[in-house]
Amino acid sequence: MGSVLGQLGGVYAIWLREVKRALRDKGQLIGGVSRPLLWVLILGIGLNPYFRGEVYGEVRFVVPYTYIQFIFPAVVVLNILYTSVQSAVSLIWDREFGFMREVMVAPISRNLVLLGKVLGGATTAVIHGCMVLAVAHFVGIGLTLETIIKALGLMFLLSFGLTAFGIIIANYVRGFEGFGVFSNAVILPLYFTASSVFPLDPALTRAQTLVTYPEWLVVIVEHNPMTYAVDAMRGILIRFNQFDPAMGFAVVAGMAASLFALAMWEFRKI
Amino acid sequence: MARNAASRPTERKRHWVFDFVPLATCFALLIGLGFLPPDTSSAEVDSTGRLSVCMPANYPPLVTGNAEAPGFEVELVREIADRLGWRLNIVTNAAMGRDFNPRNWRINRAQCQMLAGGIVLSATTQSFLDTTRPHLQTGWALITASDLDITELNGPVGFYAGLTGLDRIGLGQYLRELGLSPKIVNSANALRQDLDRGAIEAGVSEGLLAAYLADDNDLTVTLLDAPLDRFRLGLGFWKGDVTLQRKVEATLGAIWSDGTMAQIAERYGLDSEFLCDPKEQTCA
Repeated sequence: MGSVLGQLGGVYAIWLREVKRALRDKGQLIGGVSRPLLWVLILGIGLNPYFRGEVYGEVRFVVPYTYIQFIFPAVVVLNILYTSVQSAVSLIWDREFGFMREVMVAPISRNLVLLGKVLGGATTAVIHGCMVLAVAHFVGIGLTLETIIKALGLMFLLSFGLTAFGIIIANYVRGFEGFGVFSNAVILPLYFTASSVFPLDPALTRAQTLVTYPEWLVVIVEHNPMTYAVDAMRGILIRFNQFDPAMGFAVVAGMAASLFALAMWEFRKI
Repeated sequence: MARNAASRPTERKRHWVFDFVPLATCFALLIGLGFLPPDTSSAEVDSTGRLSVCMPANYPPLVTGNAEAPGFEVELVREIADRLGWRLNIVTNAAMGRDFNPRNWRINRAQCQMLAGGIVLSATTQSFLDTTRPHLQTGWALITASDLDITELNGPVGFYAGLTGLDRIGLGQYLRELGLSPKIVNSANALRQDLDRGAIEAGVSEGLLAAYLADDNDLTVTLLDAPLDRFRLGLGFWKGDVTLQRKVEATLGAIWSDGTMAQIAERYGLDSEFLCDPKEQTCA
């Protein structure tokens, strides 16, 4: 019993350190604020009038949301994506300055060290996701208690998987600069090909979709797991799904489990 | 030494609390920015001082075409416009109230900023328009000269569809299950004349219209319950016109709270079972 509590105490200590480090990192906080400001308040409002269903008599398309509402759930995912992956930079930091050596000699298993780090990163990422939810009033999305609970659940699962993904990346990168370049090269393509800024109309058949978009783009979007994460978040926040609503949760849960398992495998090499 | 040891825990606690200050500042900034106006729809109406509202030409009791009693929704939007200091400009549209698909009404932003006169809060409507929270509810209703229940009817029954957006297929199935095959009439007046002449034992129509027909007549109106659905009505806005919608919703809430809406409803024979609280979104 005492041993179990000791191990859990170790997980808690690592989690707390990760959260404290993130709270004190002003740069990360500024990034968390600037993304909703730029994507929702600037880009969303800028493009909103050009994507409305009706423009002075011409019905262009009919959808149950505005453009700003459409991209809002994607920006929640973007903030989580950035924070989760970049929180793994602490692994490089710890390795560089010898802190990791001290942690590794502590009487706690490697997997629990990893769990503490991933939970810490996931907590920070959920907080950054909530920063986007803070501008929900601007977008015209009503947040009920049920919506918030569901969104937090999905955000946590997604953050957990993506932080594990960040740790896998960090394990292959030796320096801070390399990690920054590598993480951006992963985050932005994942985001833009997740049907985050343009919809694949669920009312269209596959043949009709291929008339609207080139096949290579449709294939990439359909095979990007983040597409289903964004879709699940849209289902919760604006009640609009392009795919089967259960699929989004299944993909995010599967991603969290498999990436954590892979991170455990990689973490053994440290 | 003793002094240092005593002060250490306090310092540590303060430091941990201060860790949250930047985060709290970020949230406060974002929440504050969330209250910026996201569009110019309200400002546009403010600048011209005129609110244009698209409405059907005639759909009693919501729009009657009678100057003395112009209709429940006409009086309601007039009250909203008055309270917000705007002039009301009603744009009549013959397709509204006849075709249930708002895309076929052929209206656009240049004609009106708001839609009223029987906007059913259905998925079809909301795929095209943003809507206020419901202030009215309706459903299929039975109009009889006696207090007969629909299951007790034996004679011929008249039917007038009235308001758009209601589930006519569901009603048809329900009436067939009861062994009723209603005679379809072309207008509300024809339905009332058939009832007055005794050509039909009862009429089936949309609830608000039925209440209006029965007002000042010795007729009983009963809203039909499950398996038939109730439908909620609100006011429509172009998608993205959030600031105008918020302003109108707030005024609508005030009109409900001070009892003005109930007074207007009473003038058109609409009792409390048709009214919904737009703030709480509860209907009778």
